[in-house]
Amino acid sequence: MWSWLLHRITGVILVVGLLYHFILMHFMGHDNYSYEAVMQRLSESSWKIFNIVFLFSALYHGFYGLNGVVTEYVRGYPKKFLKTFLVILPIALAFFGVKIVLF
Amino acid sequence: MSKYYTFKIKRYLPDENPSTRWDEFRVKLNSMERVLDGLIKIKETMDGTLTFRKSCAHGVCGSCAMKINGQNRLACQTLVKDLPEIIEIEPLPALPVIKDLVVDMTMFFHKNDKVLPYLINEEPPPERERIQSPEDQHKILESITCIMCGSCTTSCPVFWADKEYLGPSALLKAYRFLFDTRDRATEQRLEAITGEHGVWRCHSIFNCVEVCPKEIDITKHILKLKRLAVKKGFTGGEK
Amino acid sequence: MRYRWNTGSLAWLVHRVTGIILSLYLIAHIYVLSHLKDPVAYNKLMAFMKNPLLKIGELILFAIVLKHVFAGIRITLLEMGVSTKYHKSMAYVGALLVFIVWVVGAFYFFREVF
Ligand code: HEM
Ligand code: SF4
Ligand code: FES
Repeated sequence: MWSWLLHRITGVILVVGLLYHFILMHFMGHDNYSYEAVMQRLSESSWKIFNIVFLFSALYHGFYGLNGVVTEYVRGYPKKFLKTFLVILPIALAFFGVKIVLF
Repeated sequence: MSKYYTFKIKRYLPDENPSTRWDEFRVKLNSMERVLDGLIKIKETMDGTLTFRKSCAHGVCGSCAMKINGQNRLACQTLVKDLPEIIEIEPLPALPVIKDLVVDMTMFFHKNDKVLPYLINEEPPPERERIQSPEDQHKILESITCIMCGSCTTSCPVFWADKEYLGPSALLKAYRFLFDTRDRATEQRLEAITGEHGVWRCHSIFNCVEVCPKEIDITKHILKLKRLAVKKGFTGGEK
Repeated sequence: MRYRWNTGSLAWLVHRVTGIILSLYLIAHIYVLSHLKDPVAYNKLMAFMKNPLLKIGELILFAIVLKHVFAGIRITLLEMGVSTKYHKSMAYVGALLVFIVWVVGAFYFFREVF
């Protein structure tokens, strides 16, 4: 349930998220991603919320996509293994990601 | 005006040789003749062992689908004048080959069975028949013209990799009944097409639309199926 | 197996390949960033990233992101009901937009190197 629709919804979130992410991190000059600037932003809760949503959207979208690729190209035992791996890995990455944003 | 064409045909004769080979035939054909005419000429005058399916010879039975110059088409509907002088012919992709251009369609028809290809309506039938208005028929007109030749499903890269994928033809059949106003099995049908190897595996690649000899915009129908599924609460497969 | 390529199948292949590359990049991206909690490590990485070779790598990644995003928008629009009549034109317009946005982005990227 929801899996496919959520992939499309996160896709749309990512368009907005990436736009913001790119403009801020790459096109607005170096001052924007100095250590101090990044830490300053990360202390704001609106920025935290944006990043958490962005992080989870990217993880869900990317790994749902990879899961689909495995569904189509892999059979038998390797398929079972990879499918499990593709659930565990994003959970681990979500943990790392949340650590960056919140702490 | 007639002209010589070279037919390069992928041969598979398992009784003689377990491997495939390419045979070449030079055939003289006029501009009104089709690939099927060339094949018949070869079989009748050059090599009687050449094996292929045909029946109607007029694009209605769906038996002569094959890969012609890299793309699936009906041999009886492809004029040689529209092709280069060298015509490469292979069986439909991704299905087991029985002999030469004859493939085993069991897998293809089995997919069709999975989408419940018959009207389901438990209401007592009226005295004569379940009438369909012209407007209602119009909703499914395009999908009804399918001749089940198999060109679309075997042109789809998803099917090449995932043999369990329902594929364009069966999904089109599902559409044909889901959008039939006399049918009552919406839930059951959506259940059948929204599994792991169902409608969500379609990536709008459009290979099926490129090849359909009836010029059905199959992808358009599959996209409508996705929207119907979401509307009815089927928002993803598996899990 | 050889089979004729069409606009739609090429668009799909590129979308799929870019999607896989981006997902792999995402894994590395999160992992690397999660190890940067003090200013020293952070500034070291940032200095390292100034390397022109890496800037070129970033530009390639930028192109991959753009290509995937515009391909994704095309598919999403089709799924939301935009007519399949336009699917080829949408692919071409998307490719053009990718190029334009990439050139504009590359300009800003390079301004930072110098
Ligand atoms: C920013 C906007 C993005 C949009 C609009 C978008 C959209 C889409 C769509 C619609 C699909 C489905 C394609 C299909 O069914 O063939 C897709 C597939 C995919 N996306 Fe994205 N995406 C975006 C960003 C990303 C990012 C950042 C990643 C990586 C983390 C990613 C990874 C993938 C993967 C792996 C697939 C599977 C490819 C396939 O099934 O062929 N996408 N994307
Ligand atoms: S939809 Fe077209 S290509 Fe597919 S089986 Fe029917 S007639 Fe053949
Ligand atoms: S022989 Fe019937 S469709 Fe070609």
